[in-house]
Amino acid sequence: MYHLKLNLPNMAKGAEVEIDGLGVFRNGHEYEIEPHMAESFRNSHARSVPTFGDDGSFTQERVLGPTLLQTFKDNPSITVTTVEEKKGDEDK
Amino acid sequence: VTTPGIGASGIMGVALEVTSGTYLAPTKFVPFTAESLQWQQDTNWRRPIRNTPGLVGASPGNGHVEGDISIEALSDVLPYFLMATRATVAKTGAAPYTYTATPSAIAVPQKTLSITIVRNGVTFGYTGVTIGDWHLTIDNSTLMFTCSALGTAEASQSTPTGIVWPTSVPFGAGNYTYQIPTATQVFDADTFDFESNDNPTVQFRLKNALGAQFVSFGESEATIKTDRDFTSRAEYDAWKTLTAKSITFVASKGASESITITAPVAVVDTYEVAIGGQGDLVRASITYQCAIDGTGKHYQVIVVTPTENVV
Repeated sequence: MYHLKLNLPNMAKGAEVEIDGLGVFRNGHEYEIEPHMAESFRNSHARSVPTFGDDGSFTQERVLGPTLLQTFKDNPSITVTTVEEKKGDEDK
Repeated sequence: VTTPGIGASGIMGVALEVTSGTYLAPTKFVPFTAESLQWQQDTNWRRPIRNTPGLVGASPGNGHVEGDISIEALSDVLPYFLMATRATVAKTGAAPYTYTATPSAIAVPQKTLSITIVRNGVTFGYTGVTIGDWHLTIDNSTLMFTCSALGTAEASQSTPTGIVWPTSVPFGAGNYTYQIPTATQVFDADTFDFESNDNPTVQFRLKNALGAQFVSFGESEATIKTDRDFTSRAEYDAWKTLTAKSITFVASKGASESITITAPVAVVDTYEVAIGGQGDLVRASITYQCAIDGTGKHYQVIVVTPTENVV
């Protein structure tokens, strides 16, 4: 689980913004990001890395994009932190 | 190295430069429909005479950035581009914010832009970008902003991460009030094209780095082009007598979001009416030249946006 906080200085508080690959959020608000959303974020930024053969052919390897923590590590307007899941959450 | 890519993966972001020509990473990401920004260089191809007929080599010539950008005229994006025109942009209010762009006799823009474009995962950073020729026009019912940009330099930049897209929606059919003259709405026009051409010129100076020094504006020419049903001679006669009028075009979704273009002293420049064929509507194609009013402005663009707080 991740905790997401938006504080975009160029947007009014409450204004909707779309974080590329994650979804639509309101500026000034805080959100819990489920693991499947974080995974989807990485998938949306995945890229294909080709390996070229001598005959000009190439094969592709799919590389996932950076994690939420990596992406927003140095972002002053969007803060992402990890939230420890409580024990037993999976049993609920 | 990546695999071949398509335009869909493209990204454009802009930032208002603090120091003109010094790159800044995007503070606003811009959904766009097309771009053609290019680094252009006037290489000096060497052909000194030295008993050989071929090209001897090359030495650097002046270089600059040039190209077109087409975007939907989103109320939260447009102020960034207006600030790089010759208009002085004043901000008032808060949520909604009102940006009033008024042309002035400045030689260089209030702000220049750093424009970052990612093409198939490869990032280009264009700096010192000035908007010298731009249109607000209706295309397929949507209010569009298209411009020809000139810039001073280009360099590779790190690919932006944590991209935030605006969720604003463009103005479309049913959002428009066209007033000819101002305060009299007309319902017989189906096209609108406002152009401001400030005849920009890239300025090169002798220095120790490649690229232009700045972009300067020349004479300012603003025009409005429109097509109307032809029903009377009134506007035709106004053309012959050079009778001026104020024209206002409003794209609005309510009090908190609108774009208003006003030409306070519009004079008909060309007026064409003809019968093209048996089944054709009789229509008039009109071009207005925008002259200055008593305060010295020949046009004004007012953008009201509910969200964007451009610094």
